[in-house]
Amino acid sequence: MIGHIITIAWKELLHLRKDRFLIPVFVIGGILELSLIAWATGQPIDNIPMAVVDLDQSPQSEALIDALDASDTLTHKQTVSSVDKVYDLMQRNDAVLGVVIPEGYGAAVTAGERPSVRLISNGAEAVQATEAERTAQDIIFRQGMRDAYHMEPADYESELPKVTVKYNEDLKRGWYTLPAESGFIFYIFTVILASLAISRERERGTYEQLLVMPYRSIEVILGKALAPMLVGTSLFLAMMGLTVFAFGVPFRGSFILLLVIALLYLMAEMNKGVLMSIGSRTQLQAMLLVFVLAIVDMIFSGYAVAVDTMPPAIRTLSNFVPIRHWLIIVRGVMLKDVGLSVLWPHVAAILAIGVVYATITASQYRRHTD
Amino acid sequence: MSDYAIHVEHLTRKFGDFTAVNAIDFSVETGEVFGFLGPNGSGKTTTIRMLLGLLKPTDGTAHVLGTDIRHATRQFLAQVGYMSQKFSLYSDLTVANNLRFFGRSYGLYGQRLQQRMEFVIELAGLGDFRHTPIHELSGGWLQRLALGAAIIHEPKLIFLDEPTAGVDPVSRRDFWELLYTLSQSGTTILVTTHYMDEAEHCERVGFIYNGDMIAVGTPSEIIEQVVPGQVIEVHPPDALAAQQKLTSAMRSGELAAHGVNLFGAAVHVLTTDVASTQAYLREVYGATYQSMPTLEDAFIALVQQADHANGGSPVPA
Repeated sequence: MIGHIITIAWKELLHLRKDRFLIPVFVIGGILELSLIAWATGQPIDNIPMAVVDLDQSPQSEALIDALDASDTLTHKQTVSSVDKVYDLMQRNDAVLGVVIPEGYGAAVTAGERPSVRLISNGAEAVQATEAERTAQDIIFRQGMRDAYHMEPADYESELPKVTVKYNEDLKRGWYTLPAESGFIFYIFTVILASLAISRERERGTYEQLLVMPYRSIEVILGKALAPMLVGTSLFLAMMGLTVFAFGVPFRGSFILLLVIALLYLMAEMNKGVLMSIGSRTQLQAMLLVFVLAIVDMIFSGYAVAVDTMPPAIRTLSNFVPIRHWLIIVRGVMLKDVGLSVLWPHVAAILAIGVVYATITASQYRRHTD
Repeated sequence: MSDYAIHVEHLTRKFGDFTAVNAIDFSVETGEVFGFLGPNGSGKTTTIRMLLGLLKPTDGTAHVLGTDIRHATRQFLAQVGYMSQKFSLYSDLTVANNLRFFGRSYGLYGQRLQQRMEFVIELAGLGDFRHTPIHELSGGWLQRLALGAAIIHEPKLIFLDEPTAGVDPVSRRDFWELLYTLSQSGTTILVTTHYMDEAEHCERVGFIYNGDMIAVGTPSEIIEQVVPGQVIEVHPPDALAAQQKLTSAMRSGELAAHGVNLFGAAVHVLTTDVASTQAYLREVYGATYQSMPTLEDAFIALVQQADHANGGSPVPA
């Protein structure tokens, strides 16, 4: 039994070693991808272009515009004469936020009022627009308190809600994206390798030979799974190393716990890969299946769209996607320092999905010989 | 039944409406070289795949090494070897690594594995190439290596599916030498081929045609039964025209023959009345050559009979 599994795994590793393309692409591609993401998401969202329609043209309105421009988030790009011109700029993507200061703004402020300022935001750039709006509202509020009520921040801040950000104290995007992206990278490469394991034999005509050898189905499947597991585990360690040591995402929980769960997670994903491999006649077919399923995974993972905001049916379905659980686990362990007492439902889900895939795979292995 | 390495009764396999193998019966004795003959698409590979347990029969039974093939176990698979029509070795791996994989798959380790690997490397004549990736080797060597890999575990029975297809004549002859050596050491061999010259080397042969087993026996038995008498060969300037002319002469009774076949530029006339046929042919075409009928003659006659019985359906390509 063990000897047979090792024999298959040994052969698979030989194939990988002879392949001068796959592993270099995985290693270099994986590192490059993660570095790009780190670089792209490491910066805060700032310098959002803002257009201003100043119908008042008073010292007070100019003070407000300066205050907005002084923030890191917003940059005063242009002053235009009408709201229509703001729309024009938005269509050409030259503005994400429009600020319309009404006539009589200066006079109202002088009279001790806080007149309404109109904000127009470009919803097509949803992420930037939300950020710009939030910042502008805050600045307009503070400006009003200062100019209309002559209050300093210390005078009114005690009345504002107190915000404490836990786990990602500075709301760094990298802390959110990097653990997730490294999860995607090491899982997708593992699934690709696994999906090639049997389709390669099919394509080259060696599959029948394998089928007439005195192997148990489970021995072939486990043997075929071992090589992708080794590669996947190495990639996991490399990606985690980069995320923590090169890109500064904290690792607050137990590394051993995450490693053990990572192995379970990889096993589930890899069984899926082997199953796709059995269902395909060629390596190309297997790869296409991997990509189609990767897109589904991406959507259900909760990475791009929060699972809690999805309709109930989709939310239920997303429970069958291992990466959804993995993302919760990896954030839980790395950022929140939580353990099995909190994460066990997700670990159990991953384990169950893996067992289901393995069972289907084992039952399908011999059937597909025609 | 215990003397039979393979015993097949009414074995049938349908794919939808198409009957690939139609209720065939045959047996292969232990230690025999059995030639399984027939044109491409006649059901040879389907039969072999059933005998290996890769495909479930639609009907009928088959026992291979005493095992009912519907319940092919790992113990059974460990006793048979299979060299498939497709390339069965891993082209990116070296000779030694391929053999190591085959050996370990059949439970050979350590010294025993080394011995068997060396045996196969010697058999295939690849002593200097043990660390060469397979894809750098040429046809004849690959064929011998594939055979060697299929017998590395000393199976009692080996299935060879068109092992010499696309191999040059010298390599083919060497290959058959190897088969005899194996057979002499007690291994049962079932080999498919469409080279009739090779088939004559088999102890017994079975002809399969459009899924039907149309003849089983020793080559001489089949020739005796199907094409009795002798072959008179003539070399007319236009062989096709001569064949047509002689066929009508045979049908009219003018020529005392029971078969007129085209063999390249020659025409073979099958007859039991050698003297009168020879006289007739000499008169028309001059020189004649006399020979014994071959399996190819028998095969052509069998196919014609089968087609005739089926209302003259053409031979599939």
